[in-house]
Amino acid sequence: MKVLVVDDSAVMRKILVKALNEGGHTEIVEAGNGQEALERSGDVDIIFTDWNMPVMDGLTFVKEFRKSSKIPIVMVTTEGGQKEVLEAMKSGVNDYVVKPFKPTVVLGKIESLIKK
Amino acid sequence: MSEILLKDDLVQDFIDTTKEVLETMANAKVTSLGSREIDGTLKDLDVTACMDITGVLGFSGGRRGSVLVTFSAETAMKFVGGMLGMEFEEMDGDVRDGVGELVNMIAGGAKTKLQAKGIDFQLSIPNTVIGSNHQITAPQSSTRVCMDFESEAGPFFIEVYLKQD
Ligand SMILES: [Mg+2]
Repeated sequence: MKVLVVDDSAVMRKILVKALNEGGHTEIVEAGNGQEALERSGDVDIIFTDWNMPVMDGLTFVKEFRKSSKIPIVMVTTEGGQKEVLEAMKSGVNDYVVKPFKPTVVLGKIESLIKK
Repeated sequence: MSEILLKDDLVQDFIDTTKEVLETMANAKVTSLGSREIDGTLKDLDVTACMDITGVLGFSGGRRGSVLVTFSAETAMKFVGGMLGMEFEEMDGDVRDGVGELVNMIAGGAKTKLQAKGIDFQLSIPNTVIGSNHQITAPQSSTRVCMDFESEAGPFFIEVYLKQD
């Protein structure tokens, strides 16, 4: 299974990749903004994406990506407001993680979104 | 909403969020040493004596201003090291990036808490400033609130500049 991790912070990507590796997921693609994510999302099975990023933000990426794919998307962001969560869900996000978070929560999201 | 209430809410929300962020992401215990307000209304060269690295993020919308989180090199390396489960010996790209992401999470968490009270604003992408004893100038006509913290990784502080519209 291939996971796409999208965040403009290299440290945040490392935190997510480390947690995924520890959970046995080693096929990981990284992107630093929504534009890169669109280019690298070809054959991935699940996406974890940040919201606030330069070039193309996560919400715009989700809206674009949803025009052609139904694979699960989890938003991992500091935007924890009701309004934002609702907007993201309406735009096609399947699940939501608010920063700060315990990195292992991402493994639970994979479990619940991809039935084994 | 009165200015006083806004500031009190804001200070407590930033203190609470800072503790949450560092405890959750870096496994670090953080204690608040309180806050002080510095009125920079008439002083356009009101500088802050800083330590080695500052993460800065601007906000706009209902309120305009910026959030700054300042650490010594040692403290920054310990916190970012805690986030990644590793040790740093120099302030490399990851330490700078990590400090940027810390201010992003602190400002973002405080934004969520303030939003629930009807104070809405948008956040910019974080930036990082480095250099020993670097100084940052407060924008003109702004109120400055400084919050001091103590931690196992050393002392650090957060400042919020509120533009007086
Ligand atoms: Mg970001």
